[in-house]
Amino acid sequence: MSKQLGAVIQTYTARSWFWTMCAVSLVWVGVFMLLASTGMLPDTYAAFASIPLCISGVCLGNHLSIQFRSAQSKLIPKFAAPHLTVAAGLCGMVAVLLVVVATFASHGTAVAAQWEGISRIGLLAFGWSLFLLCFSFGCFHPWAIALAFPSSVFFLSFIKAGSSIWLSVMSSGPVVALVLILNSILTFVLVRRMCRLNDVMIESHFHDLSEPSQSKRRAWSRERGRFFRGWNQTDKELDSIRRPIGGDLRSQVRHFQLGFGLLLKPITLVPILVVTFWVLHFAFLQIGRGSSIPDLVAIIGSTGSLSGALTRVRTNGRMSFQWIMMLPLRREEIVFRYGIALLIHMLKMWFTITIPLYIVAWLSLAGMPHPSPSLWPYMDSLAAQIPLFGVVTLFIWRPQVVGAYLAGAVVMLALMGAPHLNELGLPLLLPVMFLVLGVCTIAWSYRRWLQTDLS
Amino acid sequence: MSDVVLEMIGVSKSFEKTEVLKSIDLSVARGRVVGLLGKNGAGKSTLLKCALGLMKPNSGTATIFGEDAWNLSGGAKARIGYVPQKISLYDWMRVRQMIAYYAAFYPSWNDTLTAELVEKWELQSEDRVGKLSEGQLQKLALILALGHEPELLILDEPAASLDPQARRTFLAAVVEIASDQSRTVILSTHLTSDLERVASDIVMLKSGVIQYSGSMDDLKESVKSIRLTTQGRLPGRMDLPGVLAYEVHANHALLTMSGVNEDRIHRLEHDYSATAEVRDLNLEDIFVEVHRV
Repeated sequence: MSKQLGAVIQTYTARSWFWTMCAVSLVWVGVFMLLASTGMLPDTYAAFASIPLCISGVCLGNHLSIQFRSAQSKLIPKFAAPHLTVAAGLCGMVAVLLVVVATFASHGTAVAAQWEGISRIGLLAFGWSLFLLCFSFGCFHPWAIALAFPSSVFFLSFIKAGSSIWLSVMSSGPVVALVLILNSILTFVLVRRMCRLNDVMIESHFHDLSEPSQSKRRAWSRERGRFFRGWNQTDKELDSIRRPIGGDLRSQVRHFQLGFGLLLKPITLVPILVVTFWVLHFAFLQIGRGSSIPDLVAIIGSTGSLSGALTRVRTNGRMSFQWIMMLPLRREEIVFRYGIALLIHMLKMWFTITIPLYIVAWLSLAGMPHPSPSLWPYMDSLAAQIPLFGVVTLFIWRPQVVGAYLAGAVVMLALMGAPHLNELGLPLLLPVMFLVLGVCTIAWSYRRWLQTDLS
Repeated sequence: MSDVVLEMIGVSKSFEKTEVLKSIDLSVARGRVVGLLGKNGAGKSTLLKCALGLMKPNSGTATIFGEDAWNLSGGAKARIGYVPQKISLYDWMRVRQMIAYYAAFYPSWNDTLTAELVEKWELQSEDRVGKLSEGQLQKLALILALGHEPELLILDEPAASLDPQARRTFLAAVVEIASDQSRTVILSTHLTSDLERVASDIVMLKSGVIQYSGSMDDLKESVKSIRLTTQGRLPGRMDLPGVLAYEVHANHALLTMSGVNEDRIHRLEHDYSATAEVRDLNLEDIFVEVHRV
């Protein structure tokens, strides 16, 4: 068994992201030690801990799905046990790290009172839930990495918004017991599902059609797809592409845009999001944080457009660029048109998310208008789309998107600093900075697109 | 020890409304080299996946070494080598790491053999798997499948991307495996010339149905091309029993027939007052004729 464990560990250590994660973890611990030298409040700790949990969850899920979905996983003798043992060991290391850090955070005299009555097991149970969520994204959603960052940011914001309520919930014995039981069941189901992954299941979208229940599920999914397509009239639009593509810029950009596709059109998504945000807003009101949802314009808008663009681009895949670049246009024309299409896609996503946020900020509850909210956060967030677009297009050629996340995180941190700039009377500084940064990254990216190999 | 290594009884498999395999009955005996032949989409890969327990048949049973293919034990798996059509290895690992990773799971791993093959096929141990060309990847997958000297080797289009030299080495390796009477090889390929060199048995699959299953010699012995020449005029239609394909040109006709023997030839000559010229067919000709109907 030790020989097999060693071989499995090597599948991790041979990956560059593993060492990146180790380095990031070290930086994280260092930053934490610095911030928590005199102790750290429990809610800050929870928010702080959610980031490594999300990232490690999604990376581990992704790694295991690669290992378990190959046909070899079903044919190599005693394959599952060493792989699951190593994965469990890594999860254990993350848990131990978070427990040690929690112990360190609660030791400061200034925060000792706040930590009293906070259940460590409760924190662990909720951390486990978040880990499972991100793990399942990584395991079953091919473009999980694009979803992990918004999830962690949203979780972080949610915790911050109602910290006292959440911490009391996390410390309630029956709730913790229930969460632990649910986590155990979910872990068992996830591991079982993953062990049954193979090429065939991937090909048939994880459904074994020989099972009648799966056939029904597939039929339902087909009906649902038909319903949404009918609603969106996407099919009609795809059929309406002029062949050959028109010589004008608009037709050519539209050609690339249609290649991205959208599950739901903005006109359909906006009302759904308005209702969702109202429900969340109502929930926040109940915990005394009524204005939290509109405050999230910068984060939700940017992460939404960023993940939307990354998902589309990664879905298109590197191979498809070989086809795209063979279209009967010059390379710079293709790059320019593809870029415009992607930028429009990002902006569409941004408007789809921020319009409902504005509506909720203005009509915090249906039929109860407030004074018009300030447009500055929206301006900042819109300006941030330009460097984000540059970053997305820069990292298309890289197999790993860690760089994109780091850059995205920097932009989002800058957005969070916007209120302070407003207080200093410099509201225009941030949009101008974004504009300059955006132009530089786009120019750099454009040059790379023109020169990169399409192997 | 049973002589049947792999057995499929009444195996059917459908994807949505498409029936890919239709009640397949197949039995592969120990020590045979079986060539699985069929057009694209005939169901070759699905048949192999069902046989290996990678796919669950809608009906019927598949067994390997007497065990249910869907629930193979670790011991049975250690006796199987498989190269899938779509090779998915870990892109980020190096060739030597990939081999070491596989070796760790097999008690009977032959380091000398793998080292020999790596050298013969000119793979660089320090190359990353993700950087390998299609052909190099196929070579590596073959090494991984051969490394534990399996009793049953299943290869789905193994030589498609290999260069002629590597194909020759690969076929030599298959022949070497096949020379050990306790080893069995099932080989799916479009390259009929490869099959002619190594296969002892042929399974011909057409639209999910087995058209022929038997020895290569019997197939070649029974399927012939017959040229009939007469002084008069031959009928336009010659749908005779056993005729796979025919072409009639006034006073001569070209028939591809199965089950050809001296009696049938004499009867043909008598019925059409013609002279018959019999020609042997190679596997590729037989394949083309079978699929022409």
